[in-house]
Amino acid sequence: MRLFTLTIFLFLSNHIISYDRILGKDFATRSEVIATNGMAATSHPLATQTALDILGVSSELEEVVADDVASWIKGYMFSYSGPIYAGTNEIQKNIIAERLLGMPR
Amino acid sequence: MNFTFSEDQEIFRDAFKKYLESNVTPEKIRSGWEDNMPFNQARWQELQELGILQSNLDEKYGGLGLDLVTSCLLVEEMGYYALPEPAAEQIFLSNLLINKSIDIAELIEEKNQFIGVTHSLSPNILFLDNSSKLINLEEDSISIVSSKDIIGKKLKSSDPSRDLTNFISENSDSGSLQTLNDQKSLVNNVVTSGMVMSAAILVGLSRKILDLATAYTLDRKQFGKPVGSFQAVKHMLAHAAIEIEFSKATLYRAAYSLDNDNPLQKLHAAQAKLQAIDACEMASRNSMQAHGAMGYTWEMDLHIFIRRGWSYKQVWGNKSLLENYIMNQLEKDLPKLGSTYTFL
Repeated sequence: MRLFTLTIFLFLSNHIISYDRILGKDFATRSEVIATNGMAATSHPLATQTALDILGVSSELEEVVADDVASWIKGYMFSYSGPIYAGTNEIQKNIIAERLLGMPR
Repeated sequence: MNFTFSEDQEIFRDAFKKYLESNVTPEKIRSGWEDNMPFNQARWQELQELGILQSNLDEKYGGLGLDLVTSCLLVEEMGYYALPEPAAEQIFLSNLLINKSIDIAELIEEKNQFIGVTHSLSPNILFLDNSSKLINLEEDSISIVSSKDIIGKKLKSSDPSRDLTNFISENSDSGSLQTLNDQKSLVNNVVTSGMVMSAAILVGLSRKILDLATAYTLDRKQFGKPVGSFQAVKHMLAHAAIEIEFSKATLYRAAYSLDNDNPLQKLHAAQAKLQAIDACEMASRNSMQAHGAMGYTWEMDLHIFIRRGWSYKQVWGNKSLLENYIMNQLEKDLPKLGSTYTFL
């Protein structure tokens, strides 16, 4: 019985993970590039973008104006750099296509 | 039915474009930042003399009485050149209030000075020191107060061209405060106008941001050829170009609806702004990416325009508010969507 439950659980968790790989949408939690650099690079912008959308009109401020409002704009600016430094997303995708998928250079 | 712009509209826009091209350069914007005075009084005067600031003001108040579609073209160019002065706000918010309400027109003597407008969708006061009056919109009332009677605290925006003040209180001794009640429809009208204005600015900004990236990728060489010749770069910029084209159509339609008091004007405005936000986000991200790390530097001009986009994306309706509004309208089954109803 226990083995059966475990199998069901594994099946379900696999199912959940595959749902987790929706690409190109605002709610996608995994990025389309599954390499160390590329993945961080595409999740950070989504996370900081969400913070700014929640803050609304206060999001452009570089200082904290009220107790319940934080300043996220610098973090958002930083998110623009992730897809660029240490090899741009495009370079990472080239590497994946050429080394992992064996596509021609 | 003719959907193209008239010759007069294009001539007016092109003349204004020419003025902006030589008078609102990135160098001039930067020098305003360095002096901590983004609002250039001389330039405001010139805009005055060109008739831009009064372009849509009624003729009885000394304006040109132009329609909002033409104003929309002008504001788009203001976005394109990142004009720091709040001329767009003057046209789409305060001029509109003066045109639509005789009471407000009587309370504002100096119609050529900047008049700030605040609302819960744009609560921070823009250029308080350079304005003569401030109009505050509540849900169904409008209050007008003299700018010097306002006590506030300066705020630091990520865009140095935006001089913001946080409203704290007003000096009630001088008795300059005037309040008009039962103004719900006018407030709604101004909010709609604010959406169209910010959408127009975003479209202009997106166009500029994309132009900067296109120029840079043709100039910058890697592996012996311009980086713009690589498909990964081309596609990135093409995506942004498509978003911008779509946002233009919704924008002009929203301006037209606003001008003609179409019952669906707010829905059209919300669609326009939402599409403009998407275009600006796509253009900003992809242009930054196409610039490589260079776009991230202070010396490149790209950030002047991207920062402005970050601000205008949030004021006068941000993404979640607009999406909510559109969804509610769809559920109410009010809008007739689809090709059959497009030209009603």
